Amino acid sequence: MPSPPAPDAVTRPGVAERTFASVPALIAFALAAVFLLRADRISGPEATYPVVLAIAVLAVGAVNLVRDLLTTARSSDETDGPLTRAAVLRVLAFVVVLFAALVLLEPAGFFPAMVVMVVGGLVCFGVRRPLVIAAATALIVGCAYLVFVRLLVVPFPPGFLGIT
Amino acid sequence: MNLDTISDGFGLLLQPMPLMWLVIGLCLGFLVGVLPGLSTSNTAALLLPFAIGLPTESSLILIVSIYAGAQFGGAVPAILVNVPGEAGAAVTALDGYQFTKRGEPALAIGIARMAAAIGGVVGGVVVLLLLGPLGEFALTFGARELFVVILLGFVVASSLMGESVRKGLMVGLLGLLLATVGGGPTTGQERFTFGVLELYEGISFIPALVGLFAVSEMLILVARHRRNGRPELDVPTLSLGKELRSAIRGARETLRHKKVVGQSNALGVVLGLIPGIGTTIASFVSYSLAKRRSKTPERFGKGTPEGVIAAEACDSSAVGATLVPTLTLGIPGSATMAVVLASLYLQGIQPGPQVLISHGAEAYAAILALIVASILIMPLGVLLASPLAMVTKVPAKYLVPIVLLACFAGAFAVRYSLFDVGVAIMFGLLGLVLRLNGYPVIPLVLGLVLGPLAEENLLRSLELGNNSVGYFFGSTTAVVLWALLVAAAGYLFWQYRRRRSAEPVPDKENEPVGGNA
Repeated sequence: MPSPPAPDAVTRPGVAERTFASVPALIAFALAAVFLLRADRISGPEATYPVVLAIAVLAVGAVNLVRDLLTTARSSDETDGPLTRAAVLRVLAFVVVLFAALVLLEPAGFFPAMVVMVVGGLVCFGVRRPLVIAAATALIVGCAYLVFVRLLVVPFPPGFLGIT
Repeated sequence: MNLDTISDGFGLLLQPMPLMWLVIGLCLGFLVGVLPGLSTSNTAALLLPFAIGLPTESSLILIVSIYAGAQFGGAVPAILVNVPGEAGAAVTALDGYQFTKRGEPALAIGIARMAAAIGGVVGGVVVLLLLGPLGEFALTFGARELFVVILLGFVVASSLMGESVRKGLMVGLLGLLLATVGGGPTTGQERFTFGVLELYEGISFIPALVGLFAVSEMLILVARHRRNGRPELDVPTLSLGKELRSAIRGARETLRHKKVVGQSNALGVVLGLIPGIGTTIASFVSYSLAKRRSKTPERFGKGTPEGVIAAEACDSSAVGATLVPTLTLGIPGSATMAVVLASLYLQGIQPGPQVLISHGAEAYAAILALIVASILIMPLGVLLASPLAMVTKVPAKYLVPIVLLACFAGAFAVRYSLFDVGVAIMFGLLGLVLRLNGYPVIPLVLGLVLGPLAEENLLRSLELGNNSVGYFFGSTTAVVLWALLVAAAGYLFWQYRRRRSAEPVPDKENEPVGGNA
C-alpha cells in the first residue's frame, strides 16, 4: 500500500528559524568583512568609498540581525510565512539540480545540461510518470532550441557531445 | 515641449521593426500578466540580454509595451479566478471576481480593458507634457546635485519597495558595495576582483538582475508549491463573440463613470511620478479613494464597475508616469523601470538628465509606444482574452523549468560567458534568502545599476570642491535637494513607525488567493 504524502508540517520557531532569519544580515556581514579586508590593496578615494560603504553595511546589518532575531522570536509577521520542512527540502533539491546543470554546462553542452535541469525540476515538483517527464522535457528543450539557437542564434557551448 | 524631438520619436516608432516589437511586447505583456508566476520586471529582466542587441528605441519600446500589456493581462486571471497575475491586479480582483461569480466575467474584463486603455493614454500624454520641462530643469544639475538625487532615489526606493526601512537600507547599501567590484572610476585600479577575469568590468548586472528577479521568483514558487494544494482552476469560457459584445458594453460602462476614471487617472499620474511608489500602491490608494468618494460605497467589494475602473485606470496611468523620474533623473519609478535603467546603461547611455539631450527621440518613441500600446489593448485584448484565460491553467511544475531554462540562456547570452550563468544562480539564491526574510531586492538592483554613477559623481564633487563637504551645499538646488532628502527620510521613518503600530486587518472574504509582487 503506498504511503500517503508527508504532510507539510509547519516548523515551530526555534534554532532553525532564527538561523534562517539571520542569514541576510550574516551575508551582509560576510561580504562587508571581505571587502574591508581587501580594501588595503586599493589606494586613494577609490578605497575610502567602499570602506565607508562596508562599515555602513556592518552597522545596518548589526541592527537588522538583532531586530530579525527578536522579530522571529515573537512572530514571523515580516516574512512570507514560515517554510515547511518539505518546502525546504524541495528547494534544496532544486538548487542541487541547478548547480548540477551549471557544472554540466561546459563539459556536456548547454542542451544536455538543460535536459538534466528540466528532468530534475519536474521530479522535484513530484512528477513521477516517465512518459510525462520525457514528453515535457522534449517539448521544453526542443522549443528552447528553436527559439535560442535557430531564431536568436545564441552560440551555446557544444560540450563533448557537440550538441547546439 | 520639444515638438521636433517628439516628431522624431514618432518617426522612430512608426518604422516596421519598432512597431513589430511593440506588438510582440504587448502580447508578451498579456501573457506575463496572466501567469501568476511571472511579473513584468522578471520578464523584462529575462528579455534584457536579448533586447540589448536591438536598437535603443526598439529595446525601450519592447520593455514599455510589456509593462503596458501586463497591467491589463494581470486583470484577466484576477477577474476570472480571483488569482491576480500582477500585484496591482489584486485590487481588480476585489470587484472583478464578483462579476464572474454572478456570471458576467466578460463584462468585467471589458470594463478593465477600457479603463486600462484610457489610463495608459492619459498617463502617456501627461508624460509627453511633463518630460520636456522637467528634463530641462534636471539638466541644470551638476555632479553634486546628481549625487544627492541618486541618494534621494535610494532612500525613497529602498524604503517604499519593501516593508521595512532598515531592510531596504541594508540591501541598498549592499548593492552599492557590490557595485564597487571592478576597475575604479577615476584611476581604473582593480578592486575586489579576486583575480577573476570576468569581474574586471564589475559584476555583470544582467545576470544579477535575472537571478534576483526571475531565478528567486521561481525558487519561491518551488518553495510554495503544494502537491495537492491548489485545485484545478475552474476558468470560465470566453468566446470571441462574447468578448466583442462585452468590449462594447464595458467601454460604455467605463465611460459612464467619468468621475472615477478622471480621479483614478490623476491619482495614478501623481503617484507614478514619485519614485518608488509603483503601480501596486497606486491601485490600492485609488480604490480606497473611489470607495470613499462614491455615493454607494457599500457596493464596493460586491462587484461594482467603479471598483474595477479605479484599480485599472490608476494602474495604467501610473505606468506612464513612472517613466518621468526614470528618464529625467535616472531614478526608477518602479521595479520594471529599474530594468529600463539597466537597459539604457547597457546601450551605453548614462541614465539621468542627459538622456533627453543625447537620445531624446528614443525616449519619446518609448512614451509614444506606451500610448499606442494602450490603444492596442482594446483590439488585441478582445482577440486574446480567451486564449489568455486558458494560460492561467499552466501549472508551476512546467512553468518553473521553462523560466529557469530561459534564465540560463539569458544569463549566458549577455557575454557568452558560463561565469555569468553562475552569477545568475548565486544572485537567485541571494534573492531567495532575502525575499523569504521580507527583504526587498529592488534596492540591491538599484545599488548595482546606480552605484557606479553615485561613486563617480561623489568623487567628481569632492575633486571640484577640494574635498570640502561644504561644496555639497554650495547651490540652492543642492540645498533644496538635501532638504527633500531629509524630509523624505523623516517622512518614511514616521510612516514606517505608524504602519508598524497599526497593521490593517485584511478582509478575508474578498482577499485574492494568489498573485506575485
